[in-house]
Amino acid sequence: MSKRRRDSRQPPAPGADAASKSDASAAAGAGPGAGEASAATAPPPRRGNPIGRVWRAWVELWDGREAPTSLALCRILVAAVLLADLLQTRSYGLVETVWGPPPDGLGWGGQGASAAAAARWFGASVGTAWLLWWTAAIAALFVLAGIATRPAVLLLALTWAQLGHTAPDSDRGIDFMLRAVLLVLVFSRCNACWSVDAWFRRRIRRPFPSLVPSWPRLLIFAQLIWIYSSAGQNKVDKAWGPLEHFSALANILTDPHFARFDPAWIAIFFPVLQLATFATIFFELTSPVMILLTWWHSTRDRPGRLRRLSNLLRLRWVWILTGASFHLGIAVTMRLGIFSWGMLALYPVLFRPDELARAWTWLQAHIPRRGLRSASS
Amino acid sequence: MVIALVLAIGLVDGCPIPSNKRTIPALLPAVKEMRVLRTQVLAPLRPVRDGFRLHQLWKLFPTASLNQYRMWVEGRAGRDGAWQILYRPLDPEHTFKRDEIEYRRLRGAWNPGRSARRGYASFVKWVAGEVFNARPDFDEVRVRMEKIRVNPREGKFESTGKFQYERSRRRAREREKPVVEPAAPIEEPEP
Repeated sequence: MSKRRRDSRQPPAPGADAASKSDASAAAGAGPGAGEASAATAPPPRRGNPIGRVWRAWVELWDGREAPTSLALCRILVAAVLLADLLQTRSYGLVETVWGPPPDGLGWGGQGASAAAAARWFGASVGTAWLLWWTAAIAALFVLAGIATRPAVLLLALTWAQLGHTAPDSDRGIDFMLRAVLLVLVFSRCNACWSVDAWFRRRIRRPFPSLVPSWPRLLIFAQLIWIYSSAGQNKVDKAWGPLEHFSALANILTDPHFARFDPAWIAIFFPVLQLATFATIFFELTSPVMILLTWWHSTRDRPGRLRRLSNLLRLRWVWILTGASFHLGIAVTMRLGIFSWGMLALYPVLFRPDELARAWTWLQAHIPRRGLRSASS
Repeated sequence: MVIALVLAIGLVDGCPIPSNKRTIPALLPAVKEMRVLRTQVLAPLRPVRDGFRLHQLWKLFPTASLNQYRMWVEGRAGRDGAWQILYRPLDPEHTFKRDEIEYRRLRGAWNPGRSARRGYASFVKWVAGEVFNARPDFDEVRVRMEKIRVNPREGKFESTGKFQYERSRRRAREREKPVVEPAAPIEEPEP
C-alpha cells in the first residue's frame, strides 16, 4: 500500500481526540472511496506509464481514511438484525427444533460423517444447539455494543456459520451475505465510535484515531453492488423478461408460501407489478453503474456532461431510494424474515461519513430538541 | 494487492456459469471446462469458504414459476376420522402455529424446491408433536403439498387437485398394562 494516505473530508468521529480532530480538519485531500474523492481539488496532471498510473489510482482508492461513522452504523445495524433473528427463534420456541439433531430437530447437518464442527466437538445434541444460540446471541450483543468488537465479530461469524452447517435448510442467502460482511468488519475499525471499546479507549487516554481506513466500507459497498448484480444475472426465469410480460413479481406475490396478503389485490395492481418487475431487473443488472454515479457525485466539480447530468438528476439518490424502496416493499408484502432488514443494514456504507454527519445536523435542526435529546441519551 | 485478489476471487466464485440445461450443446464442453477451472482456482480457499459458509453466487427468486405448492397440515381423530385442516398458508381460518411454521428458518425445511427438503421428515415430526400436544383428540397428523397454479392476473391461485410429498404420523400410545392384582406378600415365618 502506498504510504501516501488520502483522507476524505470527513468530520472527526464522535469522541475523537483533539489531535485527531485537527488531523481531520487538515485532511482536505481528495479521499477516493469507490470513486468518492472529494471534488474540491482537481487532480494534478499525472505522468508516467498508464499501468503505473492505474495502479497508483487503485492504491489511493483503497488507502483512504475517513471518519468511522458509516462503518459503525453498519456494524450496529447488522448486529441488531442478527440478534433480532436469534431472539425471534427463541420467542417461537424453535431453537431446539431448528438446530437440534434429528429425529426431533431439523439439524441434519449436525450428523453424519460431514457433521458440523460444533456437533463433532460438543456432540449432536440439543445442548449444542443451545450452546451455539447463546454464543451467537452474546457475540451479537457484544458487536452491537462494540465490546471487544473484533473478537466478537469473528466469533459471531464463526458461530453463525456453525448454525448454518448444523441446519443447512435454515441457512438462507441473507445469512451467507451477513457472514461475508462480518468478515470484512473484523478487519475494520467499525468500533472506533459508538462503541464501548471507543469509550474505554478514551477513558485510558488512548483514543482511536478520528480517521480510520475506508477500504472496509468500500469493500462492503462492492459486495452490495455485486449481490444485486449477481441476483440480476441469475434471474433466469422468463417471467423476469418480456417473453412472459414481466410477470415475475406478480407470480411471486401470488405464491401462498411467500405472500403476506391474500393475492386478490394483485389483479388490480398487475400493471404496476409488471413495471416493478422491469424496474427490479433493470436495477439489478445495471447496479454496477452505482459505482460510477458515486464517483460522479464525489467529483462533481470536474467537467463532463454525463457527470453534470447525473448530479443534476440526483441519480445516485434515485438509485439508493429505489433500492431501499424495493426492500421496504418486500418487507411489507412478503414473509422473508430478516432479508430486507439485513440488506438495508448495509446501506450506511453507501454514504460517506460527512454525509451522515450532515444528515444528523439536519435532523437536529428539524426534529424537536426534546425528542433528539432523549434519542441520543 | 490483497483487495484486488479478494475481489478477483469473489468474481470467479460468483461467475454466472450457466447450468448444462441452459447451455446450447455447442458451448457445453467450454462451460464444463469453466466449471472445472473455477473449482481448481478456488480449491486452496475451500477451508475458508466452507468454514465460514461463504459464496458469491447470489440468487433471489431466480425462478418465478406459475406452478407452485401450498402446504396442508391436517389432523384427525381415530383411523377412520375425517381429516381436519389445521394450517394452510394464506388461510385465515386455519392458522395453527402459523408464525412458527412461516418463520424463515423453518420454512427452509418444508418449502419444496425441485424436491422435498432434507429436513422435511423432521419438520413433519415436529409439527405432529405440536398438534398432538395442542389437540389431545387427534391421533394422526398429515402434511402434504397441494400442487397449485398461480394466476396473478385474476389475483388468485388455483388447485390442480393433486398432492405431493405426503407424510403422516400417528400418536405414539403407551401400551396398556394388564391389570393384575398384586400378589399378597408371603409372610415369612418369624425365626
